[in-house]
Amino acid sequence: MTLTEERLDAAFSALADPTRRAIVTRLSAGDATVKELAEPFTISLQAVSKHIRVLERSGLISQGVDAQRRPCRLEIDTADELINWITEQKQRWEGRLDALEAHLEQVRAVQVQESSE
Amino acid sequence: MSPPTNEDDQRGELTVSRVVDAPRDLVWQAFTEPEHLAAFWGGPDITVSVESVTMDVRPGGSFELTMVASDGAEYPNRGEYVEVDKPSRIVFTEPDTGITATITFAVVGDKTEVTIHQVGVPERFLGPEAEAGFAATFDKLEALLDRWTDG
Repeated sequence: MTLTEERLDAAFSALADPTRRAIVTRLSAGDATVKELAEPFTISLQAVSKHIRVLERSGLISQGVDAQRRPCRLEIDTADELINWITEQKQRWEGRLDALEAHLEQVRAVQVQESSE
Repeated sequence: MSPPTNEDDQRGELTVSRVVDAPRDLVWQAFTEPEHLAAFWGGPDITVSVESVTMDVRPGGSFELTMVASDGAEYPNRGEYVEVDKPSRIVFTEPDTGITATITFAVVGDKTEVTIHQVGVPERFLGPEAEAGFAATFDKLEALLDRWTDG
């Protein structure tokens, strides 16, 4: 797997968990501290921290170095990469179909030529 | 055949469809014979030599080829056929990317509609519950990204 694919796998894997999706969704509205992120959940602060570490490793979010608050932030690049990847896959097929049409046209032109000979 | 929807995109799936001006048998040949496949599989910008193509078109069989970019960089592409239903349907998986693609060929008058439905996200990440949440997250992320690029 390429580095990009590994990162994508990690990101998709991280997003498969509902708590982590909720965290990512909350962060899409703005940066937040671990304590703020933990508020809507019934699970412990420790459990939330664990989810945050998973998200951090996947590259989806990062945690600031400000010793007091250490706010979490959504990493736009990774989110962007996820969406770009799907777009690229789509373009790959569109390109293939473009080339297919050109190829079929050629094949049929040769067929017509041969049948008229 | 259902048209592509935003929902598909959000679930990491995609659908691409095109009506090509050729009879279905010829289009089937194009997807199942090396000399045809090599001519279009790389798209307009990537070259595939016929010599690099091996294909064993039957369920459980595999295909392998080398794509060469304009800068000379080589990318191997290999897949395994899951379903082969001549002349209407091919399903294959790519172990390197985790994608599964279903290609269907439908007769439309004297033309052929080629539809590709690809599961772009490895299945193991998509339980029924994960799918719903994933869509919601993508909604939010996309809205956010739109704001980001506009600003």
